Amino acid sequence: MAKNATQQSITMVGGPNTGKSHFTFQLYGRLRAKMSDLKLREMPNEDLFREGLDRLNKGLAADHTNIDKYDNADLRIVDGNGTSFDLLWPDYGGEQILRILETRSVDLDWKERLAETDGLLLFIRLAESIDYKNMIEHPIDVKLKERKEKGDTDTDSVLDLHSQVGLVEMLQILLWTANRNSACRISSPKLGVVLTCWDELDSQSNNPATLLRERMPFLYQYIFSVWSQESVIIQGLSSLEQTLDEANQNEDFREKGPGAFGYVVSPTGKHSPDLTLLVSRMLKLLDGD
Amino acid sequence: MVVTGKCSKEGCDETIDCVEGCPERSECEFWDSDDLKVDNSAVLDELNRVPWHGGSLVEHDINLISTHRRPYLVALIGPHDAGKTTYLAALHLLCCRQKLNQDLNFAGSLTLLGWERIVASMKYPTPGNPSPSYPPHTSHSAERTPGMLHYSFRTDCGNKRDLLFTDAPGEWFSNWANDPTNPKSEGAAWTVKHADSFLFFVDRDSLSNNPKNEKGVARNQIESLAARLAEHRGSRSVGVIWSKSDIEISETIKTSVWATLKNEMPDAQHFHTTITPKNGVVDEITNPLIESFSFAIDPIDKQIAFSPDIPTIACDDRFLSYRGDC
Repeated sequence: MAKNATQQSITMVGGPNTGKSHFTFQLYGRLRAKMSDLKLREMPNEDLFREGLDRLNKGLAADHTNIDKYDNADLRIVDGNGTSFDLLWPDYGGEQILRILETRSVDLDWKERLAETDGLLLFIRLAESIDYKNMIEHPIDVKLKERKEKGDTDTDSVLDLHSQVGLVEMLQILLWTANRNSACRISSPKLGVVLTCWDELDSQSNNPATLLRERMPFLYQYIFSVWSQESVIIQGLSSLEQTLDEANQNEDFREKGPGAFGYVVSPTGKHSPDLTLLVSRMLKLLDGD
Repeated sequence: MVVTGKCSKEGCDETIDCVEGCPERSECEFWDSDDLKVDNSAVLDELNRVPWHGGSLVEHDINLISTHRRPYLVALIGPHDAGKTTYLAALHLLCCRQKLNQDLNFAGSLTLLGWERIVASMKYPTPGNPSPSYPPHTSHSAERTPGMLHYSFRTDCGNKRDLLFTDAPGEWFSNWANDPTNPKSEGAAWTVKHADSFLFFVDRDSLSNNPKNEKGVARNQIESLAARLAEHRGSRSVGVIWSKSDIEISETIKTSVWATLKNEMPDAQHFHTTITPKNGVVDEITNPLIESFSFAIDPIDKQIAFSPDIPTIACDDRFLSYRGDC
């Protein structure tokens, strides 16, 4: 894929079911409604977004029925100053990202995109992250089992993208692939963390960074040890404000339309219904170089 | 690159040397070029694969981290079942929650899979694990080097520090205490030789009045291991970890072991760890872990103090007058 030298790109990454589809379809709807400075450019794969948005208009959760037809769900955008950039979602099928941890490698297409990308947008759904009790933080309230003589290979643990340790490994692999040196804190690519499905979170804190530090302290430490402080932005997102079903239609969505739902939480905790802010804040960070 | 194919000459096949004497089979006239396949995908996969496997590191893997700066190696010494792996597992569970040291920020690890393996049994209730247990025994193997778990930290002033912790089977050290030249002691000898600091484990359970124990033998084993370590450690620091500190032992045996340790390693610092706190307070678990970790890793980041002696007389020479930007 030829790339314009001045054209910027942001790559979306994250485990399966972290809300990337709903965000992209909602963002497409907002961009098409021309309510913000950001506008869509011509896109060869527009059908994909149109069909996705249709599902939301029917009050149904988006599905991944088009995986065979599209291997990516890239959005091509132009900002208020006429500068073009791409919001890349190279793993629309959702299989690549799982294979990264399994095979410990990244395929060539991804490698090229990662090496050239100006920003990573990492989607995390805290409500679905795995966080078991353990013997250190929770004085044991159940009977201990006999320890095994040696490690059991049948139940060997694997790293999972629903856990903060798995996400750290994924970022390590992506950065290695993108050929980023870690001897000093890096400032490129910029990192945008998006805490999705904000409506599911039952939290006292309204500040996305505080929430990430509380819920994923290992990942939080890693991020700020690898990236310089001014190269990271942490935001919250609720694309639909509720969970839609794949079969039962939601009346509110049918009557008011998906445009009436969704909000972004700014780094300081301010809510706004303008979903394009999530991307424009990231662009501002990119321009801060 | 994998070259596959067939030889068409009778009496010659791919498993033996070419009967025509060609050093490269693909250049031989009898090599069936129709069947020649170059498997490029394997090469590409190999190039894109990250160089670390995620499990604990063995000797040659150290190359992955030692090119930037020599890693700091903490050796965990102690007999079988003394709590060495449990100590490491507890450390990792704690690291997933908070900073292990005020000045160090977690900055990555090449052995996340290895860390997760040793903590898996301590998490509950997981699908295959309704109740927790201590990590499985580190299997006794014929390896020459121990498995090593890695953490990378960023100090507050921006430097990176790599730490390695050995996870060696206890049997190695029992053999080494008896005879350091025995081939079975090779792994323990490697560990002791390359360590920067030591955590020496005293298993209180083995010294208790539990009828399954032979506490006299256990006491003697601790004492002879301490004597052996004292002989080999030079000036390197030792932290003594009294593990399973919730278990009662008699004052007499405690005094006896204490006196030997004091005599062999007078400068060693002592820590008391437990996983089952008496008062049910998590601090009882975490505080000794944090203190012993900080002691073992020598948190002071040694900077090279390099100030060249430049003559000041040649002040008309711009090069020699240069004193840097600050």
